[in-house]
Amino acid sequence: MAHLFRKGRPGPVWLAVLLLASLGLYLADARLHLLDHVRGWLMAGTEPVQRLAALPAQLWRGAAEATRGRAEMQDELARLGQENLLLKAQMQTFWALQEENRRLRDVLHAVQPLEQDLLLAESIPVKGDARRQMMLINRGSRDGVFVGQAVLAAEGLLGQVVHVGPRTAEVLLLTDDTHAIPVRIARTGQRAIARGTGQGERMDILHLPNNADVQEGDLLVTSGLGGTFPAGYPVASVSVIAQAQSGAFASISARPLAPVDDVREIILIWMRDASSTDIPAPDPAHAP
Amino acid sequence: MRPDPWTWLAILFSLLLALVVGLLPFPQYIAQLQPPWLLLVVLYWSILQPTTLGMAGAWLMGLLLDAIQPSPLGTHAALFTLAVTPVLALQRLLRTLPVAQQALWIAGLVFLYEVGELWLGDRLTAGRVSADDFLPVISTLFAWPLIKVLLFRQERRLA
Repeated sequence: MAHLFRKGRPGPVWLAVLLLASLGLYLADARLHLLDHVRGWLMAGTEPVQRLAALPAQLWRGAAEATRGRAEMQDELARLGQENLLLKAQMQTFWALQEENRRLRDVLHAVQPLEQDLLLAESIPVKGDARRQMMLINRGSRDGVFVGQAVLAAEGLLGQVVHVGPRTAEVLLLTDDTHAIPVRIARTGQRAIARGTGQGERMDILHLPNNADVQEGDLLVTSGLGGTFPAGYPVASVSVIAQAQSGAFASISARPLAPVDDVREIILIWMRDASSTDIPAPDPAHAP
Repeated sequence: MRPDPWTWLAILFSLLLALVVGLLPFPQYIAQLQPPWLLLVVLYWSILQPTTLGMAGAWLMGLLLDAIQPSPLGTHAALFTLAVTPVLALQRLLRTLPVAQQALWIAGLVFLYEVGELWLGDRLTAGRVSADDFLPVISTLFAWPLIKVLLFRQERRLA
């Protein structure tokens, strides 16, 4: 790069050229969304650096894992076994209910619900911008990950994919202060918007009137409006309700169910039309 | 003056280290204290070797940060270019200053850089700004001498 600057003085021309180039990139990327491919290549290039930065945290995880006592492991094994048994028991009724739901929808000529494919992924422990709530995951376009894809944790919804590289993807968490998600109160069916605050433990619930039927502990699930997120996944539970003295809307906070600050395993969702596929319905007898 | 391979190696290694340290997954209260390591290293080399990295190098490093953070492409590229311009212009002055005064100059620049970052991130206009957003300015005062110490041998060699 030495040939660009023969003297140590900054050239005003160069400054103008570089600033214009930045402006052009910004407009093409942030406003016109033309540079998703360029972003993909850049992410492929930066992946080694991110893997390197994640290494200490991963080694720490590994060391903590390796030094766990036998008793502790056996406890966990027993707990997981019990959990698995309970889940299997619940699944027995789930298949029957799904069949019944399908039949009833047929009778009513209702639209079939979307079916979902799932893929497990892991988070890569790096933190780029302290002000944003984002997460890097170890799946990318090679695994079919796409921009706008919904991301789950075991406890509830986590966020959506915003940038995709070949083998990594950036997930915008639902607690980021630029993120908002359409939700519905599971108990009453009332719709609202849950917006992130930039803090891991709090989301703001918007557009609920002062006299709305909300209680602390109410579960908020995705409403499916907007099309980004599939309907019915748990998002947050209402934690604080403050009746506003002025204005028409109540000021309500909720706590996301997914532990957004410390997630290791995540789940990616693909939605597809049930009618457009010829995958047979899962047979209860062969269900895992 | 053409920089020798060792200088290039030192530059690349220090930039890589700055990138990695900036990416380490610290808990939030430490993460918001992190100074902009990559910018500081770019400024350091601009003072010591103004012809090597230069404005275009700063721009490229900013673009790299845009890709890695991630932020809209071009934002950090522009901020890095703007931050390095006064340093290149005042290079002869800055180089002769004692470390403490240098740190003050750099901290002032980092303050402007943080303002620019908040503005381009739509935070300034939306009012989502707190005092915590300027903690990196304080930590820069300590990070700058640290960088000087770590790269002391380079400074000796190139002096």
